[in-house]
Amino acid sequence: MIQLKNVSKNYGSVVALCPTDLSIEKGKVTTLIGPSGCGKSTILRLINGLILPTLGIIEFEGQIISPHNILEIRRRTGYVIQDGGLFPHLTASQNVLLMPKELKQSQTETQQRLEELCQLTDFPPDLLNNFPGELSGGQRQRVSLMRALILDPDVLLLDEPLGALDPIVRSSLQQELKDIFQSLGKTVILVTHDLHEAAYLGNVLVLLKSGQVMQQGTLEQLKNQPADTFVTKFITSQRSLIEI
Amino acid sequence: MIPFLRLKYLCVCCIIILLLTSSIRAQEITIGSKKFSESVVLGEIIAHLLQKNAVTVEHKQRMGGTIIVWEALKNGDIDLYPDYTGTIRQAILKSETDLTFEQMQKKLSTYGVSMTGKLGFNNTYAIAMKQDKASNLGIQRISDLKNHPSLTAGLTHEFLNRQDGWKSLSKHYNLQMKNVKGMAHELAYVALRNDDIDLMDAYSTDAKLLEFELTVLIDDLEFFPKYDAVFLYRNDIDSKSINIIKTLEETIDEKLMMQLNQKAEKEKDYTVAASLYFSQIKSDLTQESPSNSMLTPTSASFTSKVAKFAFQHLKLVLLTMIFAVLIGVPLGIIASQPGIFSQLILGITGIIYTIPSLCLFALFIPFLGISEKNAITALVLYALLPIVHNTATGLQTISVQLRESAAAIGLKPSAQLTKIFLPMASRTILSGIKTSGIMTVALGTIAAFIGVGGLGEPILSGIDLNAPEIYILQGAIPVALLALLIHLLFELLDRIIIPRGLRQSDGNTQKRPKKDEVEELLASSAE
Repeated sequence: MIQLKNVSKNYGSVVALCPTDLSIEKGKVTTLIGPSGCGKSTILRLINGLILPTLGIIEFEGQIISPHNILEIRRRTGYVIQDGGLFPHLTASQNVLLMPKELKQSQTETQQRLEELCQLTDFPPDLLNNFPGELSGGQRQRVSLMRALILDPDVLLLDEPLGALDPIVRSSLQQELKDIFQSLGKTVILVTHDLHEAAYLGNVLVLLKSGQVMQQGTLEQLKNQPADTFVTKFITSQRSLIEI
Repeated sequence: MIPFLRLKYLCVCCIIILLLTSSIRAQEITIGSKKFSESVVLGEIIAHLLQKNAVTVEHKQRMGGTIIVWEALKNGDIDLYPDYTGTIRQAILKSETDLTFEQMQKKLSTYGVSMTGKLGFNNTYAIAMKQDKASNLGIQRISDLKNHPSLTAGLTHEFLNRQDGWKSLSKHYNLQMKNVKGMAHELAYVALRNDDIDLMDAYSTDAKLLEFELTVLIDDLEFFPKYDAVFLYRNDIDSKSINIIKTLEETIDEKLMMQLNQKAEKEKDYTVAASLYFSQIKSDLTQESPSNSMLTPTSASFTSKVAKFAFQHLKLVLLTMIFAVLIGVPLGIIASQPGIFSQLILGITGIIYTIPSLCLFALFIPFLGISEKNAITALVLYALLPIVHNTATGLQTISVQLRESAAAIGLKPSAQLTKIFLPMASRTILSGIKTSGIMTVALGTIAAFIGVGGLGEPILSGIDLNAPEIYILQGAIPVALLALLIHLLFELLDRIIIPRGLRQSDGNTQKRPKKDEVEELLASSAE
């Protein structure tokens, strides 16, 4: 679905991502995991065209991502960031319906889709006219997810979507996200620093360190056939959490 | 989005109304006058005379000094104004030598301008002192000033700078005065009375010379040339109007002019003074009582006067603000992007802001003449800084996350700007526009110096006539009320335009957890 071919990103002399090859499989949930500053968010922003690679190419279903086709590709990908990224001057429904309105899609259809998404994300429809400032953290993330899903995208990009939530809400949303991923069957790339969350939600884990992919595989593969000592160290440090 | 559409329609409606009101103007003769009572009274006399003969007139009162009014006449911004032969020869025609009446006519005709015959009085410059001070110091003639170089002179800016003014006078009489101050003519009388200054320049027909019992120093070395009053008019005005203007020739002598000036100052009204002229002329002919022949003032009632000035002022402010927003917001958008253009735009608008307002008005006279265009151009330039600065700041303070979100969901750059960034910065932008609006209301009063009218006009006239009731009631209070009105209007706009989500605490901040959420969290921690 998405291929990174020898992609690197530098900011001046600072290397954010070393030359990397990465293949994201269609219909799978791939989680990018690693310590802060390892380059996981950089990969997400490169795929969405928010930043351009210093070297290499990124293919989206065989199409090389460039400034010419980025709008079309962005509309085929839903994007959710840590604090929701909702626009404070728009109500929940205005945030969700912004793009359908921009693309002049039928109002009846989008309204129907909004209702379905409310159900899917368990968002109370009576809060649709509330502004982001009037919603709780969890509710904002649900709205953000609805906004990402409204155009029925092929790919979902989630950058620490649950990072700013308290443990209870986070745990409940993790379960809901898993259900949503399963029911939609979409290609998902999720960034997290939490191995438990990565393993719980993802089919494939990509472990990064200092802008380099250390290992790609299932949790079992990472545990039983670690590529190097860092992988073992990373898993061990979070083992107690995984075992809970 | 809807409030922005509403604003767009509001702007379009304002432009249409202003275009309509400015286009509904009949062909008319525009009279100019300089910024002192006598000039305005003469302007009012000719205005009424033309009106009586069914000519539509507009009188731009108190436009400024000689150069400003002369430039306005040359450019066709006005059709006629009163001036003096001495001034025409030296300040306008720049002639070192004496010129005959015919020579002056010939030179003026190269500018498409003609001069009427003499109106009948000579208003030359004079140097005046308080009677008691002059007699105590033994000063009767200008030559006597040589022995008193420490005296303080309070002179009009025009007299200080004109060729036949203070510099030449000092040279002619070999004066070595050390303390020379520039000040407004009418204020100099007050300063003289309070002994803040010792001598001043005056016009020989000034009513205040009588009122304040001042001594006019004898021009013993005959420095001051003749200043016979005349009207200068453009040759392209119709012959009927020219003939009417010429009927004023030889009808006003020094005594009458001094009376008219006194009337203007006593009644605090130029129209009343002009009516005295007509009653005098009529009573000379018919021996009628002057009170029976009073003119109907052009703007008689207090309310209609204030309404007229307020309307002119509001129009000036509204037009200024429309242009300032149309130019300032796009400039602010460019200035919000990092780079050389940002620095350049913010730098230039900042520099413009530091230019003294009168200088800026005067700067555009050669290009735009004495007109509303000139005033609006200067006011727009002043109004730019708060709008540009606030637009740039409002846009720059939008977080990177929200900027990226706007791009990531697939909005085009133009839609990101209009649908997300501008509405998000709307509160800061509106606050900049409000600051500009209130500032323009205040600065707009300066526009009266170039005869554009507005609430600055009663302020200047009031100071000229030493009538606080005019400049406070008709000028200062309406300006303050207008500023308050603008403030309230923007408060209202804030409620209409600013989305509710922005009026609450920052939409991105985490909402305080509800009570049940807190209890749940505490319970889970206890476990």
